[in-house]
Amino acid sequence: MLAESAQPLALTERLLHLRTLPILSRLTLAELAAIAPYLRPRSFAADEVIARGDEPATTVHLMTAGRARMLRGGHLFGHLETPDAVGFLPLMARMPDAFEVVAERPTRTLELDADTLMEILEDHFQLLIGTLRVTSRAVLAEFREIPPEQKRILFDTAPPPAHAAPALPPRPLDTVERLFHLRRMRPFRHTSIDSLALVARTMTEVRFDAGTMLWRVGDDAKDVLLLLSGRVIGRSGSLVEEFGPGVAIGGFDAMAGEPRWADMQAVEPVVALRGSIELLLDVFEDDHEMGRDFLAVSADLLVRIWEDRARRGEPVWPAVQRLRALLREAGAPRR
Amino acid sequence: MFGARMFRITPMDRTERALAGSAFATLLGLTAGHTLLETARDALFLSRVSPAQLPWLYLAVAILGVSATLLSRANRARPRRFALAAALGGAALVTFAFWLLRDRQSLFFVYALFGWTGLFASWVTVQLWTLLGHSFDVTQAKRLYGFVGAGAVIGAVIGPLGARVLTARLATPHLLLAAALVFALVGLGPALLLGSRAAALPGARAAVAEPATATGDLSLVSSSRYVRHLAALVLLSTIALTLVDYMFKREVALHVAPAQMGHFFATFYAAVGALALIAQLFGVEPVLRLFGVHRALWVFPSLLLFGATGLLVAGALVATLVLKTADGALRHSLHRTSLELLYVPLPDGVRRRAKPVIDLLGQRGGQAAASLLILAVVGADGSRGGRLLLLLVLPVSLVAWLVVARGLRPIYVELFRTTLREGSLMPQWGLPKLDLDALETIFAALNSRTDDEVLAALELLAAQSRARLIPALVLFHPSRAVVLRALDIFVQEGRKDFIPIADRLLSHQDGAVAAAALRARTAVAPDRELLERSAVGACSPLQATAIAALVAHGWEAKGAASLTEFAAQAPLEARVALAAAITELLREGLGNEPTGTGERATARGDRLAAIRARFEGALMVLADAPEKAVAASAARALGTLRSELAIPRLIRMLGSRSLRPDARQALATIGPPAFVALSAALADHTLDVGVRGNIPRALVEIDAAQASTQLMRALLEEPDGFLRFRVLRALGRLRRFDPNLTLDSKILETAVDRTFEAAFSSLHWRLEFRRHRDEEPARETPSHELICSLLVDRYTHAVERVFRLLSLRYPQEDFERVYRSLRSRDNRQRGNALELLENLLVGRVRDLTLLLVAPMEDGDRLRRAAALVPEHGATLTFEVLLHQMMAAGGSLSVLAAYHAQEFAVSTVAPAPSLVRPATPAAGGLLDGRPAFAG
Repeated sequence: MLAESAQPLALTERLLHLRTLPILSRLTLAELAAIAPYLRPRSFAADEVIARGDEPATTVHLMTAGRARMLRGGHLFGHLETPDAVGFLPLMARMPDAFEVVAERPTRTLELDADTLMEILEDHFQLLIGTLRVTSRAVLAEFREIPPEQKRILFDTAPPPAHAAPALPPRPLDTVERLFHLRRMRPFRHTSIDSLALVARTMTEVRFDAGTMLWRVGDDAKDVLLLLSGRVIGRSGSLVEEFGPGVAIGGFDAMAGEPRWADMQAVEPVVALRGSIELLLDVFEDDHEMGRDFLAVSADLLVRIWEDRARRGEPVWPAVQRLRALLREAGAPRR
Repeated sequence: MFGARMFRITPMDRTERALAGSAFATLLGLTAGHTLLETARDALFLSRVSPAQLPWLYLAVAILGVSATLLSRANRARPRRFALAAALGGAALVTFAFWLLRDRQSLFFVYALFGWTGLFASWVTVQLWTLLGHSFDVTQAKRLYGFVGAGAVIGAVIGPLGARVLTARLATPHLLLAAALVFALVGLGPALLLGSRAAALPGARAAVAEPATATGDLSLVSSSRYVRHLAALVLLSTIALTLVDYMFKREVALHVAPAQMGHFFATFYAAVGALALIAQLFGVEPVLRLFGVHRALWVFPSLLLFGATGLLVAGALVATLVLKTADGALRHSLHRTSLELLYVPLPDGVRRRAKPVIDLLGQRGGQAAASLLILAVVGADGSRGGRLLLLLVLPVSLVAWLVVARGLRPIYVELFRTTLREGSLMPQWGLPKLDLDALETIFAALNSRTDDEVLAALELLAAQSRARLIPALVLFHPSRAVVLRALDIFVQEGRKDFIPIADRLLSHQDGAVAAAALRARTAVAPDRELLERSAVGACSPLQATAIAALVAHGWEAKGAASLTEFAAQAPLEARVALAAAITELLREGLGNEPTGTGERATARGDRLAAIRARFEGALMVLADAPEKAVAASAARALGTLRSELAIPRLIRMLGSRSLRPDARQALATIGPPAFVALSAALADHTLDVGVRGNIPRALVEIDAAQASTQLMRALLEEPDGFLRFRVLRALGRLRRFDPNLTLDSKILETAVDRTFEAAFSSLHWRLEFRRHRDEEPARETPSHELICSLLVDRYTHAVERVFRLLSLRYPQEDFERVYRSLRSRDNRQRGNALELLENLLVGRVRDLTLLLVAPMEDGDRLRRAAALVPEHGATLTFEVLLHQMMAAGGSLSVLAAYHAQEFAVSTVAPAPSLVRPATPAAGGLLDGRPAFAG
């Protein structure tokens, strides 16, 4: 493979193509040149399966020509074409069974092993952060559209019954108590305690009286609030919903780097932990596994939202299109 | 019985147990049957034929073996499910046919029996081991081959014992019937099971049969240094062992009566088999563990050499008996196991092709060469005796065997290195050299509808020093990113042909494009009139750029004051443009100018001071801007100005993710004053950890040599684990930049020592903590779970740090790749990494590193660690355990204290002797021995 791919023309073509891929767009040419020889050119006839739907993704196919349909549980999720990457989202979401992708017409791809892709993500932290931001944006976009009752099931944001809320001591929480609360959150369930302790230490305990406006639509989103007690109402247009203890609010907009999408107001006295997303990203830099866990949770959530759409008979392709657009936007040069 | 014992003492999972159990039973039956057959063969042959004929028979068997190997070529892609069982069934039928023909007294019968016995064994055995080599990775093989090989040695005891019993009651030829029955039973039983289980392995489906040709396989041997060495090893060992066999049989024929031969051989083989069993049970695993695979290869020939030279004085009979005993005891135990292990690191396809070729060249070639040697030395009629052989030929062949075994080690290690490199990214791959076809492709990409592709084409041309080929018309491209990048490239290239188009762009509706155009054309051809025209009007990016350029050239009457005023009041877009313009102007004006000495340096210093006076005030204002883009540009510019005034601001910026790269770069440009300030900040424990944690890398980027001294000190002295990790990472960067940089090996070894201590104490505490929980279930509180998770994390982090430290200590080896391979999902990759580690490191560091990462139960790991560091084996009371964890520092102290409060355990430390210090005293882990073998 290496000897063949070392041809100047083949390498040049691959470099030009790699440069157009949103997922790799932050890499320098020299870094892309290091990846190019590890891509295997693959061809698929019309109706040939590119990725199976009954096994986890072990490779990513970077589409260079052709078109393919993406299916899940018999539902059409969308169409893929260059510069889409088959298998990327399932791999990031650690899905036990990937999307089924079938070529609609003769299709060519460059295949990259999952291990190599993971190595790239590990070596280039900015790619991990970029991907995390894009999936957060996509989840956030869905968040604005999903009915509250559906959201509670998918996002697990239902306020717990009063008796289930953990009792708070009358004093500020210490680091260990903060750890208990953080550990209950899905992205942190398997994360390193050392890293989590670092996050816990950098968080600030905040208290709001009933009626306090936590933020308004359009405000800068830099922090996430982990609600420890009290209830909060979010309003965006006609959408109104309630959040309670154990729920982290404002995390997706902060991670996505987008302004606040809803007004958030305390309806009861609220105690919460405020954490800076920037500091969280710093922790990810030292603990890639934690960053990968976070990404897996976001990507998995996105896939579950799409599945839910399909179950409710709604078309999924607009959501897939949105993700593609976000990816391209994120990959657009910043210079 | 012994098999059952081995079964218990060799750790195996369910799949391994099924496979290894079937292989064990197959090998046991195969060897038992074969020794029955051999006993019959040797007795029948030597009672009817002179031992002088033996060399001819060896030669004939070698030729038949070659033919059989060539015939079986088509069947070797991957061992088929029933191939082994079918081979054993066929062997049973052929052996049964020999039994039917036993009363024929012809010499042909004896010769045919001799040939069949020699052929069949190697044919079936190669199939068996190839199947196992496909099924296990190197780590599994090292663990399980000892157990599987025990089947052979137990068979080598049972077979001769059976033969002894049978020959006491029946004529020797009836051993053939017994052998046929054994083969049939093994073929229908364990061999069939083994084939099915191997076929059901996950990797089996992916195995693809490669087309192979005789010349292709021979070229594999000639092209692969490792396979060549392996073939030479097999060849030389076969020569030596054939010589031993010949001498033994010759002496037996001379000293044992023909009627007693069956019984003699049965008794001798049974005794030797028993020794082999002892060697297998108690010798193979420790020898392999202590010496490693390659050193274990030296043991057998060394013993034979010792026997061959030392026992000459005792006479030929005793000498040959001793040699044959050593052969029988070690050939199928240590020798066979070590040899088979050497095949495991070869990729599946190569191994499948190489093994038959090595068998062909090594075993058959060795037999043939030995036969010819015997004929040459002792004569066709054997008249010149065996002592000459013992004196001359055998020692020489044994020494040659040892030399080849010794030479195998570096190639063996290199094979693992190569295997680990495969599939991993190689950072040294460079950009492609542009030939005509590649250039055509790039120019086609310049016309692409995809902006990214156009940008990629621009960058490829610039990176390959072909920026002059980029048409200036690309500035009319609709994409802002493309235009900005092209302008940037044109300026760097010093081109002026783009100026007319850039002037047109000054009226571009996109302010950023207009400002960039003005910046670029001013950089290559400043035009005062144009700048003054552009400086008039609204606070636009174009105006900001023009004002900055006017001030830079001293054409602005108000000078610095106007800039500072503008920086404070202009809207965001204009301030971004102002910061960018100043950066660009400074880069053009100062960035590439050589520092020089004497008058030149003074002149440059004066000029820098003048420019600083113009821009520093405005840049300080911009650096404090809330907008990251503005602040980042200002940071870059302050760096270019070498503004010492800005150092505290720049250090603060290290705490911000988006400003950090620019702040770091600026500090690096400022140089020594920044280094001093950063060093002081690193020692300031009151400073925010977000800032402090980024200082090590900033130091590295200023002065690598000075930073290494500073960071090495911090590696041992910094109390905060997070900071130490950052220091370690910074040192890793330093090492990557400069592999020849000298780092204090004593400090690194001490750091490794402490990291081992941290890893094993975490393991010790976790197991003790769980034990206390099991004894008192009420202790399982939420904090218990957190502590357990934290101890797992600490262990994992310690492993990573050990490998980072090893990378620093031994820059010539890629320990980062080894570490990555150890975490791979591919068992074989993990096994290869372990084997490489075992060969790269020596002494206690090797033992402890392997203990950290080898697959085994935690309890077993701790027991083994306790053998090296006894304090890890201690049983701790709940109170002492909590106090030790509280003394460990960091999150663990906090959690342990919390847990102690939950159970009202006193947080006052018990007697000091009971508590292990958190950080062991600095000392040499290596006891003065080098930690590295190669």
